[in-house]
Order: sequence, then C-alpha cells, then structure tokens
Amino acid sequence: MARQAFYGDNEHRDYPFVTRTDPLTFDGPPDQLIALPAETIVDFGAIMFATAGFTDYVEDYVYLTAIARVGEILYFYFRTTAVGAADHVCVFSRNIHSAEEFEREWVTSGELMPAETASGSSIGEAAAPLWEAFLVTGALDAIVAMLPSDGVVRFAPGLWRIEPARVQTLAGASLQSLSLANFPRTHATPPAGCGGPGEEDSEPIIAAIGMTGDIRFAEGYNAVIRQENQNNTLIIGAGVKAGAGEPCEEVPLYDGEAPPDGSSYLSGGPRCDEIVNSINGVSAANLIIEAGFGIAIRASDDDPNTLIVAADPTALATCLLPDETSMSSEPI
Amino acid sequence: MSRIIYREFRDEVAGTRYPFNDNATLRTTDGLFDLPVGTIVDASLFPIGATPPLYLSAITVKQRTLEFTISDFRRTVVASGETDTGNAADAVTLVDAYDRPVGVLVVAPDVLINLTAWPEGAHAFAQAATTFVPTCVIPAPVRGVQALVDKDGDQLFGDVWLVGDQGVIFRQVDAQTIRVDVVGDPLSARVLCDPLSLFKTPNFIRTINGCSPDRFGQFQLTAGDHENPATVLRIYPRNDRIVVELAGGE
Repeated sequence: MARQAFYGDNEHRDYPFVTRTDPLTFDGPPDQLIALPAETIVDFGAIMFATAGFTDYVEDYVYLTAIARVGEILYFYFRTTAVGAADHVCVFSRNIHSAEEFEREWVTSGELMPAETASGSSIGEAAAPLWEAFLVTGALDAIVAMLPSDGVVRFAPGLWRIEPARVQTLAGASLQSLSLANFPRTHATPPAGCGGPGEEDSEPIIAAIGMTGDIRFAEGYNAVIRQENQNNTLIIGAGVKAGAGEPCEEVPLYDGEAPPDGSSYLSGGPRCDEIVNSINGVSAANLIIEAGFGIAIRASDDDPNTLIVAADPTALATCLLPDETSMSSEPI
Repeated sequence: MSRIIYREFRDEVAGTRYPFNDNATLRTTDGLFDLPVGTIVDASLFPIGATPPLYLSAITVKQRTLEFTISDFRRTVVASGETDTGNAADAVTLVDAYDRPVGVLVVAPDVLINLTAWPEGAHAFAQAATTFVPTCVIPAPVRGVQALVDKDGDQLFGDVWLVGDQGVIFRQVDAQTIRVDVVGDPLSARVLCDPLSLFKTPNFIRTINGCSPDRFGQFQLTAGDHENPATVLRIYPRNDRIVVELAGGE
C-alpha cells in the first residue's frame, strides 16, 4: 500500500520509471530525448492480460510514449513492447485546473489508431483490452509549462521505461475461451479429363468462436469421453457404435453444407448403385471378357467405349481334310 | 556535509534488505555465504496457486549463468529464473514448471557479478533467511481451467482453438456444450498419397449400353432372353473372367 511519503519521495526521483544509467540508442528526432519532470508521475502499475504476449521482462516493458494537451486536458499515453499488445495504448487524462494532488486513475488499453493524435478519441474502442494500468500523478505545473497550449510532447521509445516490478503479466495464467473449427472433408475429385473443381480449400471451417463459462463435452457419433478427476484429465476416444451410435446420414461440417453437383454425398463421388462394381459377380480393376468358342470380341474402331461381341462363323466351319475329300476309286 | 535527500528508488533500496524482510539474514543454510545486500533490488512474484510467504530458496551457480529458485510456504518450488553472468540484464524473468511467467527479480548487475565467486552448484536458503516482503507477492488464484495440456505436455492457454480433422467433427450444441463426432473420412485413402497428386481418381463404368447396375453395383450379362431357353450362347465367369461362347465347341 502506497504511503503519502512514498508519493512525496517519488516527486523528486524517476520512480516509477527506471533511472537510465546508459545512454539510450535512438535514431529519431533529438527533441524526443527530453526529461520528464519528476513530480509529474509518482506511481504506476500495470497488468498484462493473457493474450498481450508479455512473457520476458528483459525484452518486454511498458513505457511513456507521449503527453498531449487539448485545452485544459492533459493526456498521458503509455505503450508496451509486448508483441501481442504493441498496438494497444493506455491513456490517462487530467484536468490541469481540477486535478487533485496524487490523483489516481485506472484504465484499460485500447487499440491505437494509425495516426496518434492529441485527443483521447484516437483510441479505438472496438478491440478487447489487452492490458490495464493505474496512474498516480503529482504536481502538473512543470508539464503544463512544457505544454502551454495544445500540443504533444513525444518521448523516445524506452526513454521513460516503467520499473519491471510494476508490471504483472497473466500470460499463460488461464484458459479464456474455446473456439471450434473443422478442416474440410476430403472431397472426391473428377477423373482426368473430366473437368470439375480445382484445388480444394484447406482452411478450417469455423464452427464456434469464444465459448466461455462452464464448458461441457458431449459424446457424439462413435465418440467416447471419459473424465478422470484425479488427473484433471478428459480422454476423448472413438469406438464403433459408442456415444450416440453410428450415424444414419452424413454429418455436415456446417449448417447448409450440401453435396457437390452430380453427387448425393457431401464428400462427392458416385453412389454404389451409380457405378458398375461387378459383372456377373466378377469384380476387377481391369475386367476381361473372354471370347470362347464361336465368339469374337473386339473393341469398336469407332467408339472406344464399345465392345463388339459377335458370333465367329469361322469357328463353326468344318473343313474336310484332303484325304477325307477324295472319293474311293474302288467300286462300292 | 551534503546529503542526498531524495535518492533514486534503486539506490535507496540497495542499502536495505528490500525486497526481503527487514530481519532476513540472507545467509545460506550452510552458513558459508551471504547474499550481498542490493543484489536483488525489487521483485514482483505472482505464481499461480502458491501459498505465501514466498522466499528465495536457492541460488544455483553454473558456468555461465545464475539460477534463482523461489519456493512457497510449503517449500514447494513455484518459480525459477536464469540470468547470464556474462551479460546480465537488470531483470530476471521467473517462470513456473509450465514455463509461464510468474514474476520478476530486479537485480543490480554490478552486485550480482559477485555471486560468480561462489562455488558452482546450488546454494540453499532457509525460509526465514530470504522471505520476500508481502508487497512483492501477489499469488494468482487457482480458479477455473488454466490451460489445456496434451499428452506431450504442451500447454494451450488463453483463447484456444479445437480443430477437428480426418473424420473428427466438433460442433457447438448450445452456448456451453461441445459435441464430438467421430465419423471417419470415406476418402481417407486419398490423403495418404504424398504428394497428393499421386492419387488418380479412377474413371468408373456407370452404364453398359445405357443400363445401370443394381443398388449393389452389380451388372448381369445374360445369354438370350427367358423366352428362348435353348440358346447356344453361354456367358459365365471363369477364373475372374467373363467367358462368352457358343455351346458345343471343342
């Protein structure tokens, strides 16, 4: 818990900012390497939410990026280097005439608009906040003197870096939501030369987004779900006829999923009764229809998909052998 | 003699035992080494589910690094962090057993370097020797589901996606119910081809002379018609072939 004397002390030192002992490497405008009056900010704290990506206190930090004045209002902009929240900013405001000594304010972050302006309205409100922070300000006279009218004072990134221990991160601390998706089913492709759809879409199809609360899993077709409380484990498996049994129809991946043209299956392709699987009980990839006695079978010269099965009269002809054809010279 | 009234924060605490209790001895359990005052100048500790108070239970000196181990009231290790002694930063990120960030130690690199003179190995501290002040300790409560962990130990936290593939389908039944269907993939054999283009879709025979097969895909070639049972034409299977011939041949 902060003591009054603590804030008073902080009006005379850099805290809650890190006192720089090494020069800042900065290639930007030199007017951004400016001193912040020590009495302006006397305390600060931040909590990084799970998705802010704040995981390494050496690489990730929070820093003061700008102070702006619009009329009687001062705006304090804080940003972070955390990769997941780099475009989010916490903005605090103070009325230069009515701000109390050691006034405290808590805010949540908002998405920074492309053009950072002096107005607080530059912060987008649609994105969910990624971090929150509090600010305690001290005397504002010195900063008002730096901004006698509307304007912005920008600070080089990292010049005014918040003490690491003032930042708490919740990265990895909780499972916030579950979303569902399914990869598309494998679709039948037409044979070569038959045309048809090109490459299939391989992106997952979203089924639900951001489920929260007390989630439960239900066994569907052929599914087995077992819960082991002592291990905090859910085991999801499969078994024929398990769960809701075997499906009688295909299960669509999404509402409105329909078979492709020319098929009655969601995965496409012909039905069993739409193709010849066997002829007279014989099934083979390359079935041979053999010509027996008296039959000739040949492919049509005109139509490659036609077999001509015809009687072969040459097989029926009986030709007398030479000794059978000659008559005996002796009288009968 | 001039006196600095307002010292910078780190300079001020460097001369105190903060972030440890004022009565912390900072001495190792074997009594051989003392953690120099000002080595650690600030801390923020928020391990999930830890039971305060927390204390620095060990410093492990390695060839190029120093490892700090934090334990809780139950003497359970709840966090640890390493820093490179050759290029020490002023902050040591602490992580738990699942590699989640759970705190930070702010250190003075120029004082920290003195620890490299300690023998290599783990140097333990008793709980009373290095207890952190409560203001630095904010254990996160164990509330709800923190993460999903698969059989390999990989964690998923935050906003997690469950994606069905190869015949497994996830569906939302209602606001908080997820249904799992296992229906398989009828065309799974195709995706086994690598590359996928190796699979050539067969061109099926759909009709013969305009006639379709039955509902089982079977097609019958019959000799003549039933009004002429005396036909000499014979059609029959033999050795996985269909033989068409005239009766009476050799």
